[in-house]
Amino acid sequence: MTPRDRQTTWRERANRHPVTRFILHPAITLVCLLLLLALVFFGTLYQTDHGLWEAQTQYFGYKFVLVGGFFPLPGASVVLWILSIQLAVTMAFSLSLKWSKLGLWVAHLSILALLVGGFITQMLAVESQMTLAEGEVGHYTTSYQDWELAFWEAKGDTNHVFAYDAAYLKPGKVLEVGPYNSRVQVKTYYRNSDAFNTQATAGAKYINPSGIGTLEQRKPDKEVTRNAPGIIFTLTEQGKQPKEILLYGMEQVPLILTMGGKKVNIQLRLKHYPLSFSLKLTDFVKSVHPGTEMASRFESYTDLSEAGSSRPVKIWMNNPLRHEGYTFFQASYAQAPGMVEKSTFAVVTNPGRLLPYISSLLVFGGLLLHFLLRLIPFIRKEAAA
Amino acid sequence: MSRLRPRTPALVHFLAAFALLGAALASAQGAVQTPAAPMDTAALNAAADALEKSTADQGMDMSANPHGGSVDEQHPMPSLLPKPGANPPGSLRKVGALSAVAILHEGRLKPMETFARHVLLQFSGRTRYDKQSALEVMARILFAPEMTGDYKIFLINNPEMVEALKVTPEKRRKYSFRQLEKSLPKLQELAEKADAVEAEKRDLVQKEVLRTYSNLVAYLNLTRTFSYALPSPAFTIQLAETKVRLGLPSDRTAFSFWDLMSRAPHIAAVLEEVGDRPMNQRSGLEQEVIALSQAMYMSSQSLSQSSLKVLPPPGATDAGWLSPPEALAVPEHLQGFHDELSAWAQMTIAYRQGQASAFDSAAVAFQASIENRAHDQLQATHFPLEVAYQKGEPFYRSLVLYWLALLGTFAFFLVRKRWVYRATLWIFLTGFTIHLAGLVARIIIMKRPPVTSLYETFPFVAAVALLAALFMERIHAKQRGAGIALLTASLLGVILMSIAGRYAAEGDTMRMLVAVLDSNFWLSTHVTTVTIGYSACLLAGAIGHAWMVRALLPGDEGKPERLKEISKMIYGTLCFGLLFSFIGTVLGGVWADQSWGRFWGWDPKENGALLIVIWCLILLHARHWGYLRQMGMALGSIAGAVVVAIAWFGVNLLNVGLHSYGFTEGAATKLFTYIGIELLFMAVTGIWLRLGNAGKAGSPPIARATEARA
Repeated sequence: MTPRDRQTTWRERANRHPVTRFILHPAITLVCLLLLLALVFFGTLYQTDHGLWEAQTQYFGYKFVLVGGFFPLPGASVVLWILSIQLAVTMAFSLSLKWSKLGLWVAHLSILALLVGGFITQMLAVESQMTLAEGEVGHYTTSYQDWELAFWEAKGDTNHVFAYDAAYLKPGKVLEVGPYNSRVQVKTYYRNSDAFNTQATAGAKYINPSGIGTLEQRKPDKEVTRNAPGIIFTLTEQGKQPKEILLYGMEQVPLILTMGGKKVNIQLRLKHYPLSFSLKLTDFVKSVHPGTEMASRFESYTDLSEAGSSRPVKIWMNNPLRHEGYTFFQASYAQAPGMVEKSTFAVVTNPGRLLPYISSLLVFGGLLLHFLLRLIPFIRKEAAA
Repeated sequence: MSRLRPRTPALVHFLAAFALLGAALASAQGAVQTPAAPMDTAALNAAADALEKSTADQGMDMSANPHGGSVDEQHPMPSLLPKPGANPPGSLRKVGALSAVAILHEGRLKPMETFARHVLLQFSGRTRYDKQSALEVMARILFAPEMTGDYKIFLINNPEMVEALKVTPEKRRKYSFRQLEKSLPKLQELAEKADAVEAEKRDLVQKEVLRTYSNLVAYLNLTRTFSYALPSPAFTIQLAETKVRLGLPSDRTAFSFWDLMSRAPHIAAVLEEVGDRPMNQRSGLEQEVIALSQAMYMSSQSLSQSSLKVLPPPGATDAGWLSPPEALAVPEHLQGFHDELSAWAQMTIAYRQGQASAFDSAAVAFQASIENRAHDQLQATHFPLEVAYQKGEPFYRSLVLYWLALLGTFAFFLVRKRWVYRATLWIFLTGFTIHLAGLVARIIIMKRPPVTSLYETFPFVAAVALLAALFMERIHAKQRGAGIALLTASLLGVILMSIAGRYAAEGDTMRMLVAVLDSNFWLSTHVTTVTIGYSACLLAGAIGHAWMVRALLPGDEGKPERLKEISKMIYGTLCFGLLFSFIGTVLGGVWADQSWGRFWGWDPKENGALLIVIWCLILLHARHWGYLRQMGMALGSIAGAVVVAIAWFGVNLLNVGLHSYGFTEGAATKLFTYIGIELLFMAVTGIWLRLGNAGKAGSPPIARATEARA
């Protein structure tokens, strides 16, 4: 025994503290792991009937979920937080500092990093998409499910956009549209709705570019991307008569109004994320296995242009384009006789992207180290016996 | 068009005339028969019509109604397959020359050996029929189809369907074409109804109806592949002067399409002479030759959808290959593939006359010319290896050896003789080597890791689990644990390879991949590691069983020590399982991130792998904190095997997500049965051990004596 062993360190004292003992109770860990097991299992079953998005929000969020409609379990995020806290406290006070535990240290620390990475991704990652026809140039990506009320005017070959996220569009809310000295007062906003073409028969009550006269609220869809929102608002330009406007998410054309002497486009649209560069689809190629309809390859040939220079980029399955924090994946395509081919890219920005890579590699390394440290003496012993 | 033999201008002229004639006839008669999709329910009608035409042409014993083309219950139906006439064709047993002939099937170039097995498996669920190899059966169907009408090669599993078809049930559930032929109208009616139902909503009977139906259509189409080489009454020549003019033997009256095709220059010369002379000014010879050329055109257009795609079209490499009937229907192919079609015609004749050397030389000539045409495509194949793999049936052989090893280990536990142990170990190792050879062959043939279908995962998972078990056997053999890992390994080998055998019955197991899966890097990292994780957890479960059984069996004073050994094996295997399940799961995430931009998508298969990881974590932590001891770990590892089963196949049953490949009929029932049995086993053995009955029982004298010797 070295003198150091006899002294109680702060770590040991903290470890013995009743609060620590309570937090680190093994039963909590095991129960949490069992809960996670149940949540993943039932969440997967739930997904078959209710879709991925619903399953994710129900089972992997923070609220309690009623499994099978009656058995309450905490959401996976809560369970993961408890496990993360336990992990942090374990490493702070409890896990032995011996060299032989190095593998365990690495593994547990990296698991924590993995959970943090997951959290960062959940908070900060943005997923969007971009669909281009052959020959088309894309300057922005589009959200899958988030909507915005956008005002813009075309100036030369660029658009100057002013937009409010759908989160602001609550009935009664008054929103300033600064660039055009106007004010929007939201009357109605539906997350999902049906639009009816009653303007032709009943006369125009609202201003609408496609002849829509009525909106009817619908239950939000199981697949969140299938929602079609609608909005009715009053637009008041300073010193002018207020206008009653109705816009529907599925409309192909914007409403064009003259505001402050300028022609302004107004549209309720899927949120746009502008890019600092542009991507042009030059060619899309789908190959099949010979003599079958089974696709063997999807390839998009693109030109990436930035600050006056341009370079060709091929994007295909398992080989995305990574540029300025954006990643473009070949996601989908549209092909029909007599139609220009279209290619759809999934676009992701995720600041935490590298964390899972690094931490999982470390977890693996740590576990391997730990098991080897235990296996080698065991084999030696067996061989000697 | 790199390798076309220069032809006489007369032949070219004839072909042009042939094409013109075809166009004229087509416009005069309305539509010419067009090919239908193979699974289309109209296909049987087309097949029936066309086959009838060609069998009528062939002039072989037709039962009745030479005019009616439709399958109609009102009229007695003519046989779709000719009956062997007074002089039935001979046959060849040695058709090995065919085995490496290239066929494009399901997007992949495969040797005839594989194709023949695939077809026979689809028909009958077996790769042999009545002491004949699949290749021999295929050769008969192709070259002497009338001799295969009584082959009982059509498996119908569903008794309800047999009843509906009013066929006398067979004990072995296999029926011949002639048995089923009478029920074809009924089958067609049922198939049309089943076809109208969405694929996912079809019940078992409907699926069986469609399967049987498409098998019969495929069979009929194969029987008609080489009808162009057989004599037909449509090509009857009455006038001796015509035979002399065309250079045909005078002792025959019926000729084949191909007999006349080989006299094309002569026919063309006659057609040229006739020019546009009116009908009444034509000689008898000229009229007969014109009638013959019209019959030739009609015959060439009575297309069958033969799946024997053996002719590579010139140019594009991603275009499909052609079957001989398809080539006959298009003048430029008829010309371009003249040599190849001729070689097949020679093979057909040689086969029916029992001339082995003529058959072989025609096959060799055909293959040489195809190798010339599709040199690059064939370069990428490994036909000799694939043929050897198909014939060698390595997984089946290893299964047999695992059975022997299993019996051997039982024998060893009974007699405890060292030589029994050694012999068993060698049998096992031989089986394992063959097993590995099979895996390596698959890797070379498909140029990808052997983990791309549910079927493939069985031999792979088995190989990894068995390797780990061998390693454990090596460590523990010196202790009291000798034979235990070997026993579990043999048992796992038997179980997993048997399941693989069941899956192999679905046809060719080497299929092409959809685009997103086609990434060797990720297949070899994510899929292999995750399946290695499966292997380890399954092995741990198997050893868990061994612990429970050993604990229940009476033993001597060495028993606790032995149980402890087994328990260590469980722990070690679980650690290994956690390591690989974890890294496999994470690599799956990395692949997903690379392909779709999300590290984790809550896809059912991903979740399945995560379940295994979490379960391993629970077991290892619970053991560490003393919540689980030896029995707890044994039971936990058995439950772990259940979790693996759920992750492995259970998620495929959900039919959602990106991994839902390989869904199989009845798999749900089997999975639930397996889970039920395991739960029962755990409950019974667990309660029994807890009650302590087994522990208190004394050891019977035999066990004590043999253990003392060991």
